[in-house]
Amino acid sequence: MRSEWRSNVWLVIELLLVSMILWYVDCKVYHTVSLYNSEKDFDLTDVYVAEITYLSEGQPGYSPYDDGYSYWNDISLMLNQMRENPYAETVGTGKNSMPYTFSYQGQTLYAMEGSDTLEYYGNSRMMDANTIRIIGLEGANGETSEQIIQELDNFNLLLSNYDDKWKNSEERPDATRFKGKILMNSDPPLGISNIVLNPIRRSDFEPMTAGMILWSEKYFYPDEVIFKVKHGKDLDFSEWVSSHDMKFGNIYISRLQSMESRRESANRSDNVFITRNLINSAFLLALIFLGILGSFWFRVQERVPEIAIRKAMGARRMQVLRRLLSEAFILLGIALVALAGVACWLLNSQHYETVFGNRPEKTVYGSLLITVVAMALIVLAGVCFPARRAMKINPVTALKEQ
Amino acid sequence: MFRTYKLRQIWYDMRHQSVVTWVTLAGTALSIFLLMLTVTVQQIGVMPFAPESNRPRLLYGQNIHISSDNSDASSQMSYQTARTLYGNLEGVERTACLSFWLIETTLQGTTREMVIALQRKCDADFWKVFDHRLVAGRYYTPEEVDADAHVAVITESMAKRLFGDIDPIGHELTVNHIPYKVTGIVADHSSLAQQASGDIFTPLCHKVNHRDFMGDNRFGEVTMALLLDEGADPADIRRQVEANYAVLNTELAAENKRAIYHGAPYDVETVNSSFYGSDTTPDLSGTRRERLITYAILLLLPAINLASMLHSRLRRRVSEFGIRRAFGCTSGRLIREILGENFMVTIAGGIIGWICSIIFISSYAGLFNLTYAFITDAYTSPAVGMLLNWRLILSALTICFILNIISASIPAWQASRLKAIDAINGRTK
Repeated sequence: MRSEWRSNVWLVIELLLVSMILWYVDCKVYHTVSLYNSEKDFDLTDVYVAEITYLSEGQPGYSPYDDGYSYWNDISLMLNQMRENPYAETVGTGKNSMPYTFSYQGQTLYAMEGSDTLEYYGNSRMMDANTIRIIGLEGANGETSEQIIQELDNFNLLLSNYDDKWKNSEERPDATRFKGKILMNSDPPLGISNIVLNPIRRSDFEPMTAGMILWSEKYFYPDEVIFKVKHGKDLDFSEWVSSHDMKFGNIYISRLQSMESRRESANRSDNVFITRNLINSAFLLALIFLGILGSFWFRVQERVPEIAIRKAMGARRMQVLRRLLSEAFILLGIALVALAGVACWLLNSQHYETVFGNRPEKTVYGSLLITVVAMALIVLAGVCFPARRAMKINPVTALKEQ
Repeated sequence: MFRTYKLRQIWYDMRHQSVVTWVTLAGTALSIFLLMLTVTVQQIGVMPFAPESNRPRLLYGQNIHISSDNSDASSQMSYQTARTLYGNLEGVERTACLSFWLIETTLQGTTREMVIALQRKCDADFWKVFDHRLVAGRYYTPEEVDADAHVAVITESMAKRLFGDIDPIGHELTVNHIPYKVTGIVADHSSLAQQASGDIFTPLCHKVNHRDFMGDNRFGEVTMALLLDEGADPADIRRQVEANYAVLNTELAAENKRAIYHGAPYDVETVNSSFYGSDTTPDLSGTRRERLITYAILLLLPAINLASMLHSRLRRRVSEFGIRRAFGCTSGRLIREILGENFMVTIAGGIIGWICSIIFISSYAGLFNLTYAFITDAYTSPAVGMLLNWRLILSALTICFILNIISASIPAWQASRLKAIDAINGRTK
């Protein structure tokens, strides 16, 4: 190894640089994928959603209302007709109720706890009872959809918790602290339920940095109509909708879409992000593989006499293999020790947030482990071919050529 | 004869040091592949192609941000605001109003199929700023735009889905249940043209503000596209717009409000980056820095690899170099020859990598993140024709050249420094 010290130095530098970059990339991907894999507390199989659009005065197609009539009449008319669809099990309404849109209707709520003012920051969603049943919304302590519906009748709103990162933080007090309280400055007084909800995120990849505020449908005009379609009847359902007039007075239905396709659209940019980073990681690993392969192939070529003499003196094939592998792993070990030094410094320095953002430490350690394992495997793969060549050397032939 | 000698030298190396040479080729091809992938994805957002062939001369005035002591609101502009800020600018050949965001809408034609399509609202000048290809019929006129007429231009594929084999010109379709008449058909085009693309185009009326935000009719749904004169300076345009902001602010002062200037109008690179909100000033310096670091890493890492392998290959030819030095070959000539040989190998690997990148980018659509991607169902990838342009070819050649210089210069220099007597004896120190 000492005779090839220059080549070894370059290899170690390359291994170290690639490890560092791979760690950074793996960290981003690991965090994104772990968000995707965190539990989704709703079921959107066979669920369709369409948009409700309201025509206002001056817009084409608007008809002025007679006294006593309003949008609510058109909404009732629309719901009655939609419920005649023989392929829809349940029809509900909502406003910003469904996940997989990036709509954010933020609200800050205040409540008193003793002499302290608690602040809750969340995305407002409104659902009627049917929508709650369709998506199977549940409470954080296992409360059922029916219990949640009952609570919405008794109280005005329900809150969800934030992600673990904010658990018990002073900046974002837990939703449990708001149970049973009255909203400050609300007239008439609005009460907060005793049930804490499981949250609905905007996409599979987005953490809940804000909470969720669930309102009863009586407070807002809905902008969504939600359908639970009978299993296997998607096409029939869509054809029924297409064949019926979707305009009801001054409202109309449009953009009918399955939640599955909406989910795909919402997750697309993160999927592109993961794809690009996986391509980058694969490239880095391929580069290391080629570098190790080329370097060790050449070394085996140069050391043919040495290996031949050793085999002639009784060295076995496995000993030849072990020698080559140990050389490669010594180089990798040096690079990983340097990486460990960099990691220790980074994890304890003020630059942690600059490099890793708000990713939890377990993500950082997890991705470091993945990086080490990936590097070890790729070095092993890179040494395999030259090692096989070295093991096959026939001492007689090799020494005769010398 | 000299070139033949070089090619024979390379061929000899490939036969007698096949693994190392092929590994070098593969490493080079891989590096060029990934670099071209990165360059192409970035370039697609800025290089001109139909219907945005005028990208180098295009700027966009997009939002208005109005603030006061009690409120702060920002959104797209109304037509009147757009005219105040971006009308009558010197150095601008033409302006067009368009909706920046595509609207997902439901269409129905004579086939009765309900089609979810992407609607772009625009005025008559839109067709002069962007170069769509009119296949049949006509574009709508300024008079139809002023009258907020229910006319539409659709793409060829939409025409097929909505009307089948019937000629759609003059026929009606419903757009969100409202009847529109088809006046023209344009050729299908890439949705990577993010400001000019759409499945259906309808008039963006100047006189009726269909959308106002926060009860303020300075907000609306208008973005202004500015086609600059040849040679016009964007900085000069921005100075004029900033002066127009000052004029608007004298009017807003009466309401204790002010419009905050955020550096508009923006070029295509800024607009396609989406790294800004309607109430922030875009700053691409971080993105550009990250991009340069990415390029540097993608060049340096393979260069270290390739340098190491070249060093290994050159050690085999130490005796040859010794003899040549003994016969009067200078160090400079030796360096040039090694660089030249290596450049040929780099070019060969570069061509392979470049072709692989074209095939990959044109067949795999998961690389592009369109600004409206969260509401559309279609992935997209550029056509091969878009990828075969002189900018990208030049980029590939430049990358090959730089990679060659970085990877080969040190081993070549080291080889040239060997003393003739040591080299002939096979000593490398």
